[in-house]
Amino acid sequence: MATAQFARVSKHYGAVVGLDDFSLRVGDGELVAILGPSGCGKSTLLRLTAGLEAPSGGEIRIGERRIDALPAHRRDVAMVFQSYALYPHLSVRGNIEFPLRRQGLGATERGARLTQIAAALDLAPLLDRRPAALSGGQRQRVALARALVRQPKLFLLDEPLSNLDARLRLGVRQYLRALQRRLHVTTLYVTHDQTEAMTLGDRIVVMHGGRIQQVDTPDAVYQHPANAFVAGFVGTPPMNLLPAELDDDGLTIGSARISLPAALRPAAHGRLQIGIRPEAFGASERGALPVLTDPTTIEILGSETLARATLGGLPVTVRLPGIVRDPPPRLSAALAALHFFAADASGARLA
Amino acid sequence: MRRGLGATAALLLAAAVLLPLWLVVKQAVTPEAESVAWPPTWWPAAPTLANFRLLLASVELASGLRLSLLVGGLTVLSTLAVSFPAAWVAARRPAVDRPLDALLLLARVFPAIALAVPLAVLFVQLGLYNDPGGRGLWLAHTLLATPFAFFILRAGIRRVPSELEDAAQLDGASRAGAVWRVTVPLAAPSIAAAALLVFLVSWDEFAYALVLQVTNRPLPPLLYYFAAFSYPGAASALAALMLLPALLIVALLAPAIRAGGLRGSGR
Repeated sequence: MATAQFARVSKHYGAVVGLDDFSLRVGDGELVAILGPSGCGKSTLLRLTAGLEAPSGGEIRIGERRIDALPAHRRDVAMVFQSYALYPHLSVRGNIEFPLRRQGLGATERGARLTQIAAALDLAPLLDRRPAALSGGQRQRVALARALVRQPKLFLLDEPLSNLDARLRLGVRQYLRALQRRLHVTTLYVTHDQTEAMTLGDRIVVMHGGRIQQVDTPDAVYQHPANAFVAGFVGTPPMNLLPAELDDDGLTIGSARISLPAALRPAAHGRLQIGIRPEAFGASERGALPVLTDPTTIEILGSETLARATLGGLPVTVRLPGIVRDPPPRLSAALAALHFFAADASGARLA
Repeated sequence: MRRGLGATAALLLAAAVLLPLWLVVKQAVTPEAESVAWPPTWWPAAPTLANFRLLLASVELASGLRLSLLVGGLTVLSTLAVSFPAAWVAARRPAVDRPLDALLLLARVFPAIALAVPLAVLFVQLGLYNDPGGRGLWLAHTLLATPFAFFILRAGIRRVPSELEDAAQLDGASRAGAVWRVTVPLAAPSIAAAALLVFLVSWDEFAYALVLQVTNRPLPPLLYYFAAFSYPGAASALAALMLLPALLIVALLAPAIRAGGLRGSGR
């Protein structure tokens, strides 16, 4: 196993920016989740790392070895494709042995590795089947086995769960995490699903428009989003973001005036954005941030209930635990739950 | 009503395809004298193999057959060697595809007979004219058949997801290795179809063969020679003989085209 390092890696397609100034160090055995909406550059990053495309600039290293100029087959990087990309003309055995044969391993060694990975991924009864005769979950396990069997230095996963139905996804997610820990394989996991990123990642890289927005642990990304984009992208339902105005006395949000103690004031003035998570609201009327709920718009999800409300006349989403058929007309949140972001395009967090 | 219409159309189509076939076979077993008699008959009163005996007695048959098979076989190899890489590039790189498309269409609009004359002049200079091994004709047939093979192979390669080649490279295969181990086996039905069609193009080709092989004749100009120089019986028998590989190829091709080998690569 090894570390992976990206230093100012970029990829331009003519005037279009695929990836811009990407720098990251992935520790030995670490799982870093690359999270972002489609077109954010996460798949470009994987293709550059895999060697399927050449970067426009920057360096990629695995351990001490620089790999960005090497052809894909010399990088010792394995990948699980979103579509699995199993070889339909080969049996499961043939698929898993394919990388071992390319390494020139003898029949005994191949057999041993095959037995081992087939046992780990529960594929032993399927070895003689063709991919066409497998279910989606089975194909996914074959794709994993094919990638892991040669013990790569770096393991790339491109939305590996997106083709599974929801029922399977949870199980496979937990399974993937356990497998990655057990094999201690350095992993980049690309996804647009924040739940996968939060649950699987040792750290999360949030991307948007080809640029890194934030690199941090799942907790920190949730609790201290670096900008308004991250705040709005991570969290279900997303954080409420509202325009506001800050002056010497306090905060104006829509028609509401709220006084801010000095300890909570960001070092800014004038127009900004405030963020507040739907789950920050509670039934307590003592909180300093009062909202009025609209009882006609509640959505009961079982473990939680979502309601629309207004804060100073501006719409916010409120999330209450459990089933709440009749939310109290007034809810509130503590001032400490407020996040402040710049009003400009950067949306940067204001300390 | 609509079904009756469809059945009629299918019958007409079958008749259009089978009528010439029947004519060729009937002619081959009709005695020479009866074949020009009026009114024409549906089937000869006394079918005969005399035409075939006459054909087999011809010294040119063996050399013609050998030359046709040789040129056909070599043309298949050279055409696939040229068109598979080109088709792969066109299938994988749309930027290259469009100009190639236009170029190959251009190559198809030239009448073969018009190209045969300058080619003959060129081959005289190169010492390939009327070559006993048919090397000049082989070259001409390769030029002729390449667009056909290209279009078939490109369609076949496009059906193989490029992600499979990506996966093979990550699994340790070079780019060429990935194409060889993944794309080639998966495009095998198309490759087989292209090979058989290219063989037929060469086997049937008349204009180049007539001009470039004046005395070392492959089968099509030999048939013309028999017909033109008063051996209609031998010509009829040869025509029937020339149908054989075509029928064989159709029999081989139909299942190959229907086979779907790509299921299971994805979700």
